[in-house]
Formats: sequence, C-alpha cells, structure tokens
Amino acid sequence: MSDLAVDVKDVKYVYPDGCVALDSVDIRVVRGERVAILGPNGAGKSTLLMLIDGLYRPSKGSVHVLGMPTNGNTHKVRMKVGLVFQDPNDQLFCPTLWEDVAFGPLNMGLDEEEVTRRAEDALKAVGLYGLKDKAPHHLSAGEKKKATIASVLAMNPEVLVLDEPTANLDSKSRIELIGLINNLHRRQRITLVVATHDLDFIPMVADRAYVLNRGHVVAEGALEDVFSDSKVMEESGLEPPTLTKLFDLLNRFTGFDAVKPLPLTIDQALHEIRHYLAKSRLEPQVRRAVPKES
Amino acid sequence: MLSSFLKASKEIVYNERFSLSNGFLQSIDPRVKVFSFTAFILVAIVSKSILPLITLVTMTFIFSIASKIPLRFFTLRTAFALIFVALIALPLPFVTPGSPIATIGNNGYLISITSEGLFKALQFVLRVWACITPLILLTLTTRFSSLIHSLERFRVPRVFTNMMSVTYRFIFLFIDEAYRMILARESRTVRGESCLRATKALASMMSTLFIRSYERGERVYLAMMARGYEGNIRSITRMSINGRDMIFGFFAIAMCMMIISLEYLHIGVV
Ligand SMILES: Nc1ncnc2c1ncn2[C@@H]1O[C@H](COP(=O)(O)OP(=O)(O)OP(=O)(O)O)[C@@H](O)[C@H]1O
Ligand SMILES: [Mg+2]
Repeated sequence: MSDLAVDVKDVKYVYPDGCVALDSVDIRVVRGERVAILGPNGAGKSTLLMLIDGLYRPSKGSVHVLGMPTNGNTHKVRMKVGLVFQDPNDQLFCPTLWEDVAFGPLNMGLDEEEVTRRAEDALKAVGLYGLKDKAPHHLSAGEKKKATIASVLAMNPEVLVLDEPTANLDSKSRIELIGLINNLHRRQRITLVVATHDLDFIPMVADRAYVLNRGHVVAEGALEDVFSDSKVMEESGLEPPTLTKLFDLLNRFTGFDAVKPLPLTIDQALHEIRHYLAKSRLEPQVRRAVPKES
Repeated sequence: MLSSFLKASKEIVYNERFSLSNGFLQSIDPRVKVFSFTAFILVAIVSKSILPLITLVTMTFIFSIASKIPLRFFTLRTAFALIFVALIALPLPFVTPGSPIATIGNNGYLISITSEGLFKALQFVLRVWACITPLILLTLTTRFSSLIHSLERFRVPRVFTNMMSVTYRFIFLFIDEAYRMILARESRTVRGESCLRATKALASMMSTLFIRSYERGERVYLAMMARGYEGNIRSITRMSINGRDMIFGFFAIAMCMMIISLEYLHIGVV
C-alpha cells in the first residue's frame, strides 16, 4: 500500500473556456500529514482540490489518491476523500439539514441505523444538532459552512479536504473547528489538505504548505520556512500571520533577537518571549506581566 | 420596486411558518393528509352541483382555522388565483343558451345573460376554489420534506420527487441571486431611469442570471458526486400513523362518500 495519501504529478488543468488554471503542478501529501495550500484569489486552489477529489480530470499528468489513480476510480476515491466546497450553497441541496448530512452515508450503502448514528454524531460534532430539521436555506452563512463540514464528516473520510473552511465563521466557531480538525487528526490519523488565505488560522491546522500562484507551485516546505521567505510571500500577495510580522519587526527595531524560523502560534511566541526574558536584565519586573503558559 | 417583489415571492413560494406551529392538521401524518386532500379534490372535480362544492370549501376553511392559520391570510391566498379564474368565466353567462334574465342592447343586437350561464360561471369558479383550497392548506400545514416523502410512499416516481426537492431548494437560491443583482444595480442607479433602459437592463440581467444558475447547477452536481451520488437520492423516513390519523382519514373518506352518494341519489340537492 502506498504511503502517499495524495500524489499530484505534473498536472495541468484547462477549463473549457481555455483558462489554464493549473500548470506543471506537483504535490505530494503523506498519509496522516497536515498540509496547507496557500495562494491569492484565482491561484487555482479550488481547482486543485476538485482534481484531488476526482471531480475534474487533469488535462495532462496524473492524480493518485491513496495509491489509486483518480481516473477510473472516481467513486472509490470520492468515498475516501471528503471535500468541503468553498461555497456551502453548492453542497447543501436537501429539504432539511439532517437529510443533507445523511446523504453521503446513504450513498455509501450503510444501513439505516449506522446512517442515523453517523449523521447525529457529525451534527453534534459541529454543534448543529439542534437545527437538524431546519431547511438549509434558512441557516446563516456560518451555520451553512458548519453543515457542509458535518455532511462530509459523516462519511468518515480518510482524507479531509477543506476549501476556505474559516470563511464566515466567528472566532468561537473557528477555535472549535481547529479543535475538531486536530482531534480527527490525532485520533484517526486523518490526512488533511486545507486551502485558504487565512494565514492566522493555518499554523493551528497544518505543518507543511504549498504556495500556488497563477497556477504554479511557487514555494513548498515547512510553514515556518514558507512564511519566513518574504520574497515569495510578497510576490504571491500573502500577508504573513500577525505574530510572524510582529516578531520580524521586534527583531529589526528592538534588541529582541528571536531565532528564525519566527514563531507562528501563541505558544511558540510565549516560549520565545520567556527565552528573551530569561536572558534580559529586566526580567524580575516584566516577568509578572506575561501569563503562565497553560 | 423589483427587489420588494422578489422578497414577496420568496414568502409566497413556500413559507414554513405555519407548518411548524402546533395546529390540528400539522399533527396529522402527511400521508393521510395527502390521501384525504386528494380525495377532496377528486370529489370537487366530479360533483355536478354547487352544494357539494360549498360544503368542501367550508370544510377546508374549518380545517384551516383548526390549524391556526389566520382566516384573512388564508382567504386572500386562496382567492388570489380566483381573480384569473373569474376572468376566464366572465363570458360564460353570455354565451350559454337558456332562459334570459337580463338583456342588454336594442332590437337586432341583443346580448342576454342566461340563468344557466350564471350558474355555470358560479360553478366553475367554485369548483376551482374547491380544488385549490385543499392544496394550499396541505402545503401550508406540511413541511416540504414530509410532503416529498409521502409522495414517495405513494409511489410517485423518484425522478419526479428528486426534481421537486432540488427545485424547491434552489428556487430560494435563484431568488437570492436575482435579489442581490437587483440590489447591486439599484444601489448604483442615482436618477430615475427611462422605461426603455430599465427594460434593457432587465433583459441583460435575466441572461446573466440564467448563466449563473446553469453554472450553479454544474457545481451542485459535482458536489453531489463528491458525496457518492450515482443517480438517485436515497432517504430514510420514519413516519407512523396513529389512531388520530386513522380517525381523520376515515372521516375524510366518509365525507367524500357522503357528498358523492347524496349527489348521485338526487337527495335534496339542486
Ligand atoms: N468554471 C470555470 N470556468 C472557467 N474558468 C474558471 C472556472 N473556475 C475557475 N476558473 C479560473 O481558474 C482560475 C483558478 O480558479 P480557482 O477557483 O481554482 O482559484 P482559487 O485559488 O480557488 O481562488 P479563491 O481564493 O478566490 O477561491 C481562475 O483564474 C479562474 O478564473
Ligand atoms: Mg477557491
């Protein structure tokens, strides 16, 4: 069995209107890995995700998922890959939320009991169980997004592919989503592919990133390295996370000397500040102002 | 102006406000409702005189009151379609042969209203009314999803019910999309426009809307396939018929039988 969850080889994709959305794209995701696809609007992120789910056929090159080529195995691939679309309105089409969440499991040929259990669990996981009988068009934009996530979770995918999962979510739901994703990752070793331009969110759910720009992969590597590469970031119109920017400025304009790669998460930042304070002469006075790491 | 019209149409297409309240019909099993109301409509179609029609309409109104639907709202909603029906029925009193009750015009060119014609027109309007009131009441008191499921139970072809539920879902999206486009346009229009320009703009907007809906359809289809769709929408439904539903069903059938038999036995009817 291949240990690659996703293997995109030299792929080109041309839309029927002649628009070349992707060209010579190579992407490899190992099983159990958490990978981000970053890039500005129109970079080709959504197109790439459609290819991974076997919904589009590459114009050139090949896409393998869990060792299977997507060409010719479309149904099998789609059962293993859970794709959450960018626009929830494309994904929710049933008269009630519950039916929408049960749609995937029913197509998998599971029995009623199992379908019911899965739909309930998925709805509870995103906190929408109380709205299960509501019509999808009466949900708020954020609720719709959560509903689509539930509809995919109910299928118990091995590879979870999310397109802009944080769009329209409030900060509490964002945090819950991060918790949910990381739980799945920890317990089931689920493979994650997340496309986004929300760079403050990405450090919590990914370790490695590909940067797409105008259909090409322009950078790849550990998040810290990608974010520290200011040339690529600038060329692709990506703003580094707030924390990275802050430490960059601290390094440049104060005596602070955070080691590269710069911190991405609060925990890393705290660690860096502690480290600095320990070295600093001001330590006793300032120390009290910094909260204890939880 | 257009935008408020669209908003209103969204209300009219389907409003789940009443179907979720706890009135009488809301508590009846949807299959029993579909069955009984279809029977009412059949009776309305076959009955030859006015009294059964009046009985049916009255009965439906009593049910609507029991189901906590505001009388005014219900009357307006059902009467709305009657305006068009009345227009169609308008010539009937003049063209039906029979004994004249009023005559217009002078010698040579006479138009007369016949009593048979009046009766026919009245019967026609009443018949349509008796057909649409149960239908409207059914959709008002039943959630769309349950309606679809009961149709499936009555062996209505899957293709048809699937199409209905997807259409139902996307009518709202369609209206919302049109609404956004119109708002965007209205917000950029400063002065009042000439009628011609507004019409032209509307035409181009319609074509854009058509293309957008077409592309939306494509994406929805992709999203369905992404979750393993292979040609038919499966569903699980749990509906159970209890004693109350049975009583309602029997009552409805008894009413229908009674109306029909009274009519065909010519007992005390016109
Ligand atoms: N259905 C389509 N037909 C033709 N061209 C398309 C279609 N969908 C996308 N494109 C084009 O392909 C390119 C990549 O689009 P894609 O949706 O993959 O971008 P994206 O990275 O997801 O952007 P965003 O961040 O805005 O979601 C764009 O230039 C777009 O114009
Ligand atoms: Mg996109």
